[in-house]
Amino acid sequence: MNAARGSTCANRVGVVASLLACAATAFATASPALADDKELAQAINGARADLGTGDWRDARKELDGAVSDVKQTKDQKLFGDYLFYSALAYQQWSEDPKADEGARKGARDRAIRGYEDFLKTRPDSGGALNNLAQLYAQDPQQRPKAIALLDRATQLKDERVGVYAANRARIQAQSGQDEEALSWALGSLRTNRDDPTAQALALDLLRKQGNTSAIADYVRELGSHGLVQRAIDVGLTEIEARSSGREPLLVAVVEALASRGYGGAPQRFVKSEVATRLRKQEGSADLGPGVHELLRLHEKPGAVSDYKWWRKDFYAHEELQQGSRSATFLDLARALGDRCRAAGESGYSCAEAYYRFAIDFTGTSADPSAFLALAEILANSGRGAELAEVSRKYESALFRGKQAAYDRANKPKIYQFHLALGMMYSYIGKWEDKDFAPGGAIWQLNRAKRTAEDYNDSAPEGAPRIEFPPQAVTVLSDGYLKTGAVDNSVQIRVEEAEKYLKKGDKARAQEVLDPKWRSSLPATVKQPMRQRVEAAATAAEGPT
Amino acid sequence: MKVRIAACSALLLAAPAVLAAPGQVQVTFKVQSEKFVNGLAGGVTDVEKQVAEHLATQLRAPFPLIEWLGTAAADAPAAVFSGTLVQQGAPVPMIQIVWNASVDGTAFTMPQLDPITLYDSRTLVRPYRNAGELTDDIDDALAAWIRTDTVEKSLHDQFVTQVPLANRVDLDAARQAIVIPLPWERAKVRDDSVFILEFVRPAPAEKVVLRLTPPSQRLIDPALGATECAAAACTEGVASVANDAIWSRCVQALLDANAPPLLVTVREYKQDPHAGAIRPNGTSVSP
Repeated sequence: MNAARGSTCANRVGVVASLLACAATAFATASPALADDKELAQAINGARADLGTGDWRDARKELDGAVSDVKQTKDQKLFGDYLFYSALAYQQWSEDPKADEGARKGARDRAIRGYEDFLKTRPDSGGALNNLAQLYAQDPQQRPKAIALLDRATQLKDERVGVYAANRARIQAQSGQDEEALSWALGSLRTNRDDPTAQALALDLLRKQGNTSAIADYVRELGSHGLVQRAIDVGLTEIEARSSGREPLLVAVVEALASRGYGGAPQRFVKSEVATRLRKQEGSADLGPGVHELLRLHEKPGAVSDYKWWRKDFYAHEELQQGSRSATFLDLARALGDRCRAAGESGYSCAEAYYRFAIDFTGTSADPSAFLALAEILANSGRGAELAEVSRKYESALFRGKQAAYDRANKPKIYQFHLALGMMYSYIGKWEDKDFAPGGAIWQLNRAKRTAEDYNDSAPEGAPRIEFPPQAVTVLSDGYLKTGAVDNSVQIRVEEAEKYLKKGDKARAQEVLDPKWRSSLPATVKQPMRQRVEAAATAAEGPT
Repeated sequence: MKVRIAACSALLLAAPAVLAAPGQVQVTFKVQSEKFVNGLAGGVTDVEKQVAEHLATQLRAPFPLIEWLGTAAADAPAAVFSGTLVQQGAPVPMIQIVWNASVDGTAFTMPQLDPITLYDSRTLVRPYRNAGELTDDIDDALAAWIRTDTVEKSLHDQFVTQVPLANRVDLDAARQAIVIPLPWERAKVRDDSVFILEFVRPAPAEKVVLRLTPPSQRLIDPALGATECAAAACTEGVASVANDAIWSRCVQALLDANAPPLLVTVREYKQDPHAGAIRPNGTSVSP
């Protein structure tokens, strides 16, 4: 019986499809293992390495040399692998431009049969589905079949899912289905951001559309996947390749430059290759002034009035629109301040210049975020007098900004303004203002706290909440204490601690009831309040 | 492109071991910020341990050619990569992660590797007393940091290229190939990566630098693949060696009985996430 099976199979050496039948017989007979599986495994491994470098001839030699082993093996996995690599060897043969045309056609047919047979035993093989799809895709009539195979492959969600998606996109692009192809190429980038095929394909399709705004969005998409340098490079390349309609591209490049991933001091940027490429655009009519201002910002920010190109779409009484020139440039100025600030005290003066620029950039309604950062630097470096001066200078602008936020009922923004004003007043020790209540830290921080609570009460389910930080609670408490409102000073801490405890957040409760503060409670604090503090503190420090 | 041989006997081992564990990098994390040290008390050690492990895991993704160790290694690793949580300023300190590194016990600076600002004036919510929340915040920041291509480049240029990957190579004189004991499957090396082999020739004392490329898979055992390269260029001191003399002038010395210690590092590492598994045309090389 074995001899008969051996002779039948021996007549079919080299015909991959028929091996399946041979093996089926072999598995059914359950004869003693005659195959040298170790040698077979070695041959398969060798073929795999050959095929990994496209050397299908050596692979075939390896596989042909193991035909007698594969005919006798009882190891179903080895047998399957043999089928797969045989099919792959035929596939590479069929794609070899140096091979004879007729032989290539025959090899293609054999490869297709090989994969189809293999898939009968291993229907969930992403590699076989993918490769078979590529073979079908060579025939325009069979492309729907190829796409269906790749759909099956992508549903497997294995580690090659991005490759299958990119291949699917390529086939659709070949079929003229550009929209779908683009969508799949972008999808592939989401799972495998570094895939050069998907990147090139997506960019080609976008270029074909000729819509620079869509390319700018693609630049943003790259940046959002952490490919900041790549985003800048693509943006600049597209700018360099065009003579008009380039503004969205420059804005997208600046967005990437403002991202946290693009670090380094502003002065370092001036000497960078990106700056060199940008400089070449300085003479152009459409982008020249924008590029000039961009480079100048990195060298030294100077006066806001010198930045007309970037402020073109800025309207003092309108909210900045994400993606607009002015909003993007403001983000960059803030980011440059942050980069200087990250260097520590040595970067304070550089950071200050950018934060002041960012505040001035928004004109009549100062940027609260930049203001807070500036106030922090001045407070941290003990420059109380300067801070007081800055506060006076920007106070009215901050109030106007806050009013504008109220007019738009933008609660997160209202909160930001109250918090910035409250912290600023606390840094300069201006806890209250008898003539003008909003002119003190206590009033502003209380408003910030109330705004956060209002917002959180009405925010939709699952939306992010605004947290009035424990740090602000302690500042507010200190403010009450310094203005003689001892009961309020204790009450604010204990109330917040109780709220934290109710939510199970013992760490924050501990923070507002820190032992140092508890040990220095003024003598005037009444016993019931003391008991309340101790009860909360005990609960906060108890076992979780 | 690749060579398979039955056993290692066809290769000649060059140069003795110098480092305890080449290719290994110990990753550490330290919390120094006073606010967190005081607030977390005993919880600091847990944060340090967990972040070091997470950081090592995250560094494996862009640089799998290095063994990043988040826990203490048995042997002294070739290099150490450390993150430290520090604070600066008051009353609202800025909290940052700063970086330090050393190779073979010698510290060096990484000026292009900017600190990560974890909390600044705009992030007043800080988990001074919550180890879990701090660990999560650090993990999120590190994940975003590591997946940024600019950071990846700085890490590559300033740290990865300094790490000794091997202190021995196998030489295939017949094919004039140099085999680095770097596991091919793990290292995911693209074929335009470049390795550097350096040693000091004793007499006359001269530094020899070999540029090794293109890397490819070398199957020594069916289950294990090493990384094989050709000697693409060589300099002796400052002088370039002619291409046809590279093997005799620069490599032969490594086969002497008293061969000098050598060091292999990577000059340009480019990762192929599907190394050997996907062909450039998108064909899969495995089922």
